[in-house]
Amino acid sequence: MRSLIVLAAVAITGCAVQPYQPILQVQSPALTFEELDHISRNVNSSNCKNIDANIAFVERQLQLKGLTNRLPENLNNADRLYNSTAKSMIWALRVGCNNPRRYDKL
Amino acid sequence: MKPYLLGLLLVAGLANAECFVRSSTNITKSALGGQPTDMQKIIKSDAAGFKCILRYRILIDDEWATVEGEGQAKIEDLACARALDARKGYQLLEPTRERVSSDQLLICTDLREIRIRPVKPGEIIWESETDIHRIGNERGYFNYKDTRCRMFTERNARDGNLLTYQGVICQADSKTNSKWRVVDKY
Repeated sequence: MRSLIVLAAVAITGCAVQPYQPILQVQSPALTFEELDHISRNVNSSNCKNIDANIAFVERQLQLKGLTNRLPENLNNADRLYNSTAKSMIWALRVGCNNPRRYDKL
Repeated sequence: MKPYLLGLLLVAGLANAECFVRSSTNITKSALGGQPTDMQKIIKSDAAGFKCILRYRILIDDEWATVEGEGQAKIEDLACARALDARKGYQLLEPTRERVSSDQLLICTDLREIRIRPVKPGEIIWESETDIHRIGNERGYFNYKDTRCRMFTERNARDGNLLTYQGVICQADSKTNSKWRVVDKY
């Protein structure tokens, strides 16, 4: 099951050959921090065409970790790092896809 | 007895007002970054026209600074436009012991002092209550859901460690000098 999720995550980054296929409904544990971090480092402009699904996927990871709408002040170090990485990815997509000249890579 | 009473009233009055030392030098153009924001103004009028005292926040050497400018004109808007020229304005500084000297002016007003502070998502704030982003590439304004937004950073100490949070603020409405809403912090 974990490999399925990671595959979906890789598809989100645009690295996979397969077109993006939403499998977000699959009940599964959240991505590990290492997996999330890997994906976040590969966000690029190819992710913009599926921006809504990509953001929903990352938000789902936060939900699975119980981090939805949590204040960073109230989180331990591991959760704060996970939350920060996920939110940074979400905002990189929101900002980069709507403001194409803001980042060179997006 | 009267001098004591007057002194007490003065102290009570100053306790509610925010006091600053007005810097004795004008601001150099090269140090300025961005446009003035978070403007508060006092208008006075007499037979000669309008006097506009404008207090606003502007980035000087990448740090928020409070600047006060004055302008006079027959028309209120023109007086305030003149007051907005940062190069003719004076920076207002915290009154530290070193700064308070006999040749410097201590200014106390009832205008609200704006300074960087911890914020929470959903709050309506002045823009300069959040710091600019510490990464240069992330400092620019951007458009999100048809509103003007920017990223910020917030430095916070916890358990002896310095933590840096990031976040996003967006203008609460499209009016000039409107306040901002904290949209996210992480």
